[in-house]
Amino acid sequence: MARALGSVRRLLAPSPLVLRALIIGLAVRLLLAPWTSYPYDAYPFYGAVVSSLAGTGPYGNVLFTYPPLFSAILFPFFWSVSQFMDPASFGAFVPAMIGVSRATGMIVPFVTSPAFNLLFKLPIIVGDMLVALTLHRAVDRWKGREAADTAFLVWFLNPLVIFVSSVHGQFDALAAYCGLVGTLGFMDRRYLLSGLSLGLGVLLKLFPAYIILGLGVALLIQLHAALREGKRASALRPALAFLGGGALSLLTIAPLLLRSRSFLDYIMRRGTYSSVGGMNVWFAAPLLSGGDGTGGAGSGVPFNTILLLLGIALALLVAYLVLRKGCEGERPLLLSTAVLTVVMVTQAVTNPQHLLWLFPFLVMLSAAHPRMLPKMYALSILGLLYLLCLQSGFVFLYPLAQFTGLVSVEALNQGIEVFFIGTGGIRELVLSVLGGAGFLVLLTVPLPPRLDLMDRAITRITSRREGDEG
Amino acid sequence: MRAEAIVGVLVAALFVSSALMTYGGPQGAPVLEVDGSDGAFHVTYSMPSSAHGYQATIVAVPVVECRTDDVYVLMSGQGGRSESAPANIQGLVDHLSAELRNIRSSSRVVLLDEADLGPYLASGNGTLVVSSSIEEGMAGAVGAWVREGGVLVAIGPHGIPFNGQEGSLAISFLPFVFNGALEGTTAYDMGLRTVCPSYAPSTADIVASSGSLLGYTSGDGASNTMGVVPLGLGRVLVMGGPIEPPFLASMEDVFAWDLARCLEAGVQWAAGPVLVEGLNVPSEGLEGSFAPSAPGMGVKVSIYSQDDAHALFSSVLVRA
Repeated sequence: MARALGSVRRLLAPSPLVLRALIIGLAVRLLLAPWTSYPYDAYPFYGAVVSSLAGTGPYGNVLFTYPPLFSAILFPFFWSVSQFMDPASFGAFVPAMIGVSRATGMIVPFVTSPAFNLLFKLPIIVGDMLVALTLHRAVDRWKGREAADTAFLVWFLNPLVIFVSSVHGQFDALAAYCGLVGTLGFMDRRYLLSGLSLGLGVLLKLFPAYIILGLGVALLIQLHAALREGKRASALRPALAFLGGGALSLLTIAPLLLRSRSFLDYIMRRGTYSSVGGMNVWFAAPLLSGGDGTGGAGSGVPFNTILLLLGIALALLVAYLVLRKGCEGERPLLLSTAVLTVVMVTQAVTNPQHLLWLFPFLVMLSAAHPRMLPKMYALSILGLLYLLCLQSGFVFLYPLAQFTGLVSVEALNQGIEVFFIGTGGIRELVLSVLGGAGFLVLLTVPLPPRLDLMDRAITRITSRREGDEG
Repeated sequence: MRAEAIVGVLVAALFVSSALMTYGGPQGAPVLEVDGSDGAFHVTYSMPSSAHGYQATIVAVPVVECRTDDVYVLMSGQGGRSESAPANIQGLVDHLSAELRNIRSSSRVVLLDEADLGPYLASGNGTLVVSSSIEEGMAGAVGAWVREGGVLVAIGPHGIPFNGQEGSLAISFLPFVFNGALEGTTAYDMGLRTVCPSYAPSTADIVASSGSLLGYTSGDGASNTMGVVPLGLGRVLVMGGPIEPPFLASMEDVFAWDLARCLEAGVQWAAGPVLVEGLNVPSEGLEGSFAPSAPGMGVKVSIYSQDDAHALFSSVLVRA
């Protein structure tokens, strides 16, 4: 017992600083989680929960269009709670929000209850914690305790991470955790774990598929090298273990696959974007859409499939470029970072929550390449501002208004309408500027230091300031 | 190997969760029994128990003729201001398919390209959903098809292609004034969810066309979100529209919920006032009886749950 407790303590509190940060970070998250949500995204999660409870599965009402694993994670929590809490109390239809919902096109007049919000955000908050602890453990092994503590703090107390997980309620941190463990497992030659973890990641959000592509190239290079050295017996083992892990991850959704595969169609067709914009090469879309209030959404761009194929091609190209001098050491880490960055800057939509896919890798790399930290700080600020400028921060406060009355629903509606409509084209301009700035910062991530203009600018400013002080 | 073992346990736990989520539907099924003839019926029903009480509805529709078809949804139009965009029409197909599957209907939903409309109309009776404009030359053919027994589900101002043509229906669509008053209406008891379309058919025009009002009345009383109008041997189920954001007010989710239940309950074939009774089902379930009267007619009785955490539906048709 004492040994087990000791293990838990070592895991959760590897240092006093980490323990303090863990308590503070968790307290902030748990305080924010019940009273905030993003109604447009919370409604599909509510849909998945209640249709699962109705026995029609998470896709029963076609509201949930993410891959299925997150609904499988949520189900035991909500099934247990529904034994003593009426699912009808998980949320409320709010007719007073219909007007503002129609005006913005990005709100659903349905507000999830504090209990629902807390429950569905709990696994995401656990995901935040797992990423932080994994980062600490990995950096500790690599660069020592001080660097590990910094890595923990930089992720776990990052305002964008806290906002996305505890306020917005998006589960990118869980998929990011799978991407991180998959890459670290690959570095440690634990190919089964790597394949399994990345497979689970794909079943949460699709982006770890690009990491799989990159690491697949690494496996092929290793295979080729092993065959040239005549190690036929062991040459296939890594690839088979990696693929076996991936196949094993499918077990988690086997019952859904066996019952009906129509959900694959929902995910690929309804769950993908028919618009462009965000912190990528399409950053000017809000401005060019003429302020139609959709933030670039709904323009029905026909080249979405082309973008998908381009992403795959770029992932393979980047993997080859990173790995052409070898697959050892930090290469898989550089590979995952570069692949994700390139995909993020070219995909149809890069929302602020997508930055969380990249952050664990930036934190890991920052231990050896300090220039990565300022990029993460800049992206955090830009991402947070982008989220707040999309529909104003008021949109996140509906649970507080509906279930406590501390602010009125009407006041929030009015605030959003003033921001959304009253600011004319300024909102679109600001979104485009923020998106463009995010795009430029992302572009500097995979570049070598000599081409990294952001790093050179920071170095110049710092040295000038030091010169002034001297 | 410890990490592998932990992830293995996690995979096993998620497998169990997926299985329960997919196959662990906790619900029994509603039971409906109807006796009677010559227009006097006695309906006994029971709704299954659940961990918590829930809302349900029993609906009796007097009918002379009643037919259930596969539902064809027409993909047409350019997505102008008052017509449904193609993405929303596709959304209606997805949602309606799912809702019909949830209530164990045998009806399929088929997306019909505008180019295939002629052959479809020529193939005989059926149920066709139109929510955006079609080629003008086809309007008369759609009208003739309805008169011969077809069911047209018309969503929004462009839903009736032959609207206003000489000797045909004339139903105007008005901006829907939403005042938030939902409770206490037949539509509320039926659990109808399309509460706030941008435009809705004129109340006066539906009544003038010998139709029945079934939906929510606008704040100014001038329009109603749903009505049924007889036309020759066929019917027009006319709804407010277009299909557009937001969800829960005028998007495909609510149109699909309403259409699945109304079409399966035979509302489009109503030959007299539709009888509706809201039920509060306690957690231990509910048994009761109901005595609709429809002299000289048959009756289609349906019972269904209204809340999101149940998908219960049962229906029985007793012919005259």
